[in-house]
Amino acid sequence: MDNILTIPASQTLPAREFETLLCPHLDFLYGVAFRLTGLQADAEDLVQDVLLKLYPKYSELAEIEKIRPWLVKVTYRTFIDNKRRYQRTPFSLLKSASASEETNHVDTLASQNPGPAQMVENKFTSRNIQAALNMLNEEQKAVCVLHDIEGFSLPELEDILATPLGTLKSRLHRARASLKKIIKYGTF
Amino acid sequence: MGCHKTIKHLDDYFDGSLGQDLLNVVQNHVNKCPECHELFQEEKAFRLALFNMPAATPSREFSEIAFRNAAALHQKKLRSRAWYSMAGTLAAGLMVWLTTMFSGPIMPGSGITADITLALNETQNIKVLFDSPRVLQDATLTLVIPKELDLVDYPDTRELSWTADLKQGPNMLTLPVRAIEAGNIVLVTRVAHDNQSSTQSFHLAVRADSLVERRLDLLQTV
Repeated sequence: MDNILTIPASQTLPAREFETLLCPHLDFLYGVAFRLTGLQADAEDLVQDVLLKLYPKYSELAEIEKIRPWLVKVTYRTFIDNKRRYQRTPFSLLKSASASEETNHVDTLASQNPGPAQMVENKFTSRNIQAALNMLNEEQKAVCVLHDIEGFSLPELEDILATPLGTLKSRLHRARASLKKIIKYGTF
Repeated sequence: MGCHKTIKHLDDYFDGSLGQDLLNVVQNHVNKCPECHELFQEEKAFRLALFNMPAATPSREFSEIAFRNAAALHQKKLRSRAWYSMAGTLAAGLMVWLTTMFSGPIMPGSGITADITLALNETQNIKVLFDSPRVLQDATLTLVIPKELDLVDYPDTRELSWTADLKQGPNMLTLPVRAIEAGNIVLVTRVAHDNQSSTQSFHLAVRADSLVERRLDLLQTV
């Protein structure tokens, strides 16, 4: 068997500089991760995965002019990858149906009877919205979170989500309609 | 403009993507039609509620731990990669053979044309085999990396030296590299021990297209 030689662990990899570069964006990154995953623990896992993915690419990061859209792109892709990986595990069998582009849980879960949320005056509370967001499929949730909450423009999202503008618009329209429907009928 | 068309344009209205003329038409209709006005106000409240959602923030502990973990897990991954590359030696990848001949004359810059083609911006493992005639303790290994290549984790490092023990026979070194410029390039490896050294240079090609047919080519000097 061959003797294995290894390159020594890099002493020059700037761990501290990596932290200095990304620290100002960590709250933002976590905010996006939380909106996408809906849970603190999942958001932390997602951010950790993203940092691990970015760490070896420090030199590339330092040269990026607009880093936030780039970070969101990596976060979104990691989120989708993790979701797909999860769906391939036996645990995913516990879920009854996968959410696709055209369908979401709203149509199957939303009751047609007015719920308590309809009766309260201020129905668009953060809690209600976040609960409703958690019921959208991944694509709808992402475009709604990034456009309506985080303020990215649709042309920016074309690149971040690698999706044509027309698809984004219709996806956003359906996402908003679903959110309002969930909030109105109070299915959470 | 009727109610149906007005409602259809509301998304574009709030996204700011309506032209001024159409925007005026929508506003005029909303001001006159009580039903559309109510819908408009609800839509406005909904957008504002989304936009004003308080941001979730991580704990301070999480920030510290996350950065520390990123560095630690990366190092762990590097170590695992070295072991996995051992198992995959013959299975895949690009390989160059190098014989260290300390008993013979030093061969500075002797060129070996390794039939290896790298795709631009793609990370690849190049395996270099040092076939040592005897045990060499504390040998100094040196890599001279051309500007067209980056050694993963050593960006912009053009020369890297370290000490290692070589056993008699084949010694495998895996170089994770990323091609950053196209062209014909030369990678130089040097082994030094007890005031003797052996240098080999390998000619490689970096092609600009991303679809490169990879071939397993072995080159050995005896």
